[in-house]
Amino acid sequence: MSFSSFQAPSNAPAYSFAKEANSGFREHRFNPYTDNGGSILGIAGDDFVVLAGDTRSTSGYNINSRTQKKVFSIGGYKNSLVIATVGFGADARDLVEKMKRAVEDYKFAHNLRDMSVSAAAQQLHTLLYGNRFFPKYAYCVLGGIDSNGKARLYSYDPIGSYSKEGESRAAAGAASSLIVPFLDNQVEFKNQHTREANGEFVEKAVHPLPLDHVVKLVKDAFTSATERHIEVGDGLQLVIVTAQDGLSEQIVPLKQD
Amino acid sequence: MNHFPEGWGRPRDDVYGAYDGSHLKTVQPGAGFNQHTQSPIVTGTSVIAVKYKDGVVIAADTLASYGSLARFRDVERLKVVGEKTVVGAGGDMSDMQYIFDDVLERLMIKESYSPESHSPLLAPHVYTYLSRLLYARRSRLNPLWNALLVAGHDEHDKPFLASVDLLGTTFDGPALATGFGAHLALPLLRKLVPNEEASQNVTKEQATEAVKAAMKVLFYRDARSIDEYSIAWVTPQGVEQSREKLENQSWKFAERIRGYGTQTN
Amino acid sequence: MFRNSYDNDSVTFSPQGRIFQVEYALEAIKQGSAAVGLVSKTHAVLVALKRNAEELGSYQKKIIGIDSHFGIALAGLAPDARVLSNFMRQQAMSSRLLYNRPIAIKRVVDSIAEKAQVNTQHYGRRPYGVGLLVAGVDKAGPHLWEFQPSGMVLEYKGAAIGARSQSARTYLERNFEEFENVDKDELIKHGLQALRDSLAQDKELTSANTSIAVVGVGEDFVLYDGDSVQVWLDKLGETRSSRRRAEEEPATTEATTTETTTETTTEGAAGSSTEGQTGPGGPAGPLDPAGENMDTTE
Repeated sequence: MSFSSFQAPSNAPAYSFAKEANSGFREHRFNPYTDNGGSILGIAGDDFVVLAGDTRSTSGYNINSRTQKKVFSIGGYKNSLVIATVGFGADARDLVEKMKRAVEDYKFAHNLRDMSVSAAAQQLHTLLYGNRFFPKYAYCVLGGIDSNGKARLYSYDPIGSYSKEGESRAAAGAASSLIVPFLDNQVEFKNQHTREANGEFVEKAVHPLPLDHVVKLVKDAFTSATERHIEVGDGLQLVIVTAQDGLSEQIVPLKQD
Repeated sequence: MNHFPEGWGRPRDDVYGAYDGSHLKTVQPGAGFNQHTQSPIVTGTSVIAVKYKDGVVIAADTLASYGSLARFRDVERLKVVGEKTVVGAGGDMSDMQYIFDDVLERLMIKESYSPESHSPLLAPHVYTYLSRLLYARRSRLNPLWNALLVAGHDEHDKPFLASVDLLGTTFDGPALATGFGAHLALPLLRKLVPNEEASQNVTKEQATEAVKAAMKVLFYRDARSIDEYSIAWVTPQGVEQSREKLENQSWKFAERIRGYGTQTN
Repeated sequence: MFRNSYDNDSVTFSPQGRIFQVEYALEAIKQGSAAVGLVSKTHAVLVALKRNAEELGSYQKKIIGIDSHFGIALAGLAPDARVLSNFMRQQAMSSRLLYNRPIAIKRVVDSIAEKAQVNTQHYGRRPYGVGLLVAGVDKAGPHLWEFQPSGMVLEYKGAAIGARSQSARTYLERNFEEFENVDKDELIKHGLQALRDSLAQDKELTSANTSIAVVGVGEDFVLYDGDSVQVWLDKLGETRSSRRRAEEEPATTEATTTETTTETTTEGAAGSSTEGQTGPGGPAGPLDPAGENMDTTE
């Protein structure tokens, strides 16, 4: 019995099935990917990094879980390395496991020295690019504190391209198109101008933001994204890494609708 | 998750657009190469489960369908693993039997013939193992076409309930359901246990009642279901299992349904 | 000159039923500096003496953390230990990855025992030239295991391997009954006291030559190396061996007549068999009442 001619009732979401060919039949390939929705975001201050993600996991219009975290601590230098991933949940989970293991292996191979954030950044690239021809469908943001006590933030596409210089902010996932312009404006001060003494308008100078301000921005970004995107909501996981106090986590409720 | 296991693992048209399969090779039937599972054949429908104060209650009906044919009416879709874990499976029944009778049996035999670990394989361990298995198989593009629920408890005797599907997607929660159950049963179950805290105040009786009600709804509305189901309660003390038959059925409501078959208005 | 014709490979028995290559491997352990392990109800401790090949050289690593719940101390060929520790890490990691469960100490010890045994039964292979003390905590509590190149593994309440380890063992034998109920600090102190007795005459414990590791129920494996060791040496106070103290201050020291060590400077000669002596990691507690752990024919 062949299901290639199977049709779901007309009011159900349609799925792709191969069309019956005249000779033999056209085989439909198993699709190894899905999108589990959600959004992540990271902002680097001078000596702190904030990584955040909502805690909703979706499958189409279903909510799998309201409590699935997207930000993970992976150890490393001063236990400051954190990864946020979004996209296909299974690939994301596998990536985080592999990164945790890489950080652990590094420590063992380097006389118990912890992996630096820049080394972890390159490692994540290697992992992702290693799967270039069967990509891990996960967008990653990596944060941490470097040996000078300064915050570092890196963001990746699913095949591993990233900037070694790092970023001041990064967002990915379902609501990234909503969050990125907000961050452009609020972190990079894009389209913000100040008036000079001579009456001229100049672009507002960029400077690292203080922690409490960043936390407010993150909460605003996610409450807004929750309003406008169905795949975002339930809870906001906020992970703060500072050079002085290390790692802390909080969960802020978001709307569950 | 979709009601039709045939739809699982396929790109949704409303998300990705219709799939363009023009680049795919035409396969002659019986061409002598190894074919990976591209669609399930004999399928089981939903599995549902709820956490309560001191355990988890899990249920699945006993039907295995061949397309729309009710092919096998007495298939056990709950598997007791070790002493304190129950795995429930929906999706392809041959893949389920491979997991239940081969993979999990092997796992437990290996465990019992290894030196004493003093930490028996509990639900979280079985779950991690299965999730790695399903993810590895999907990564080889040779998936096990199932959605699994794993019920039990952790080292601290806290109830454990988590799900993994053919893609290796994992998540947990106080109430879970696969297949059509994710649409019909889950909202009912979530009413009882909206979150983790709530499940700690739910008694076995309340949880059982909710699961039985959900199974009834599923039988009435899921055309690939049957009125007999297996139900199991997992606590740190062990597993209790029984068979239920849906009695006192009433199809009176069917008369009022419009829009199908002959009554199109 | 006598020549042993039964020691050319590790697969031939001598007429006496001995496998000399395996026994030589056990001798290699004694060429390494001493390592001591001991357990209480709550903790497992490893202490070891590091050696530097020459004044200007660095010290050889003696204690290796494997996972957050266990680690090893080694005596003998360090490269062989590294191979074994890498393998143990693989085992430990795959347990976490596959089952989300830390590996039980006995399971990981058995896995290297299996590897070692294979080397004693295949032509062309060489037994590992290293002895290990494996200290860790699992669901059943703290454990100390000794591993030998013969493939023999035994659990101990206290054990010592390496050069002059008999002196440390003597200390352990006399004091092991106390170990069970002492706290972490006391247990480390006991370990250091055992270790310092195995010091060479002109040496004492320093932060440069001493490594300490401890793991406890609910406490991750911690390695103290270099400066961080000094705290523990300060707590210990006396860093010379009891034998040396007895000689330098005969009146004040309590009589700890340590039997002279059975340490031999073997050149791998057949004559220096282990007959008649308690081998490395000999019995320190009633776990091995017969004291037959050296008998590879067991």
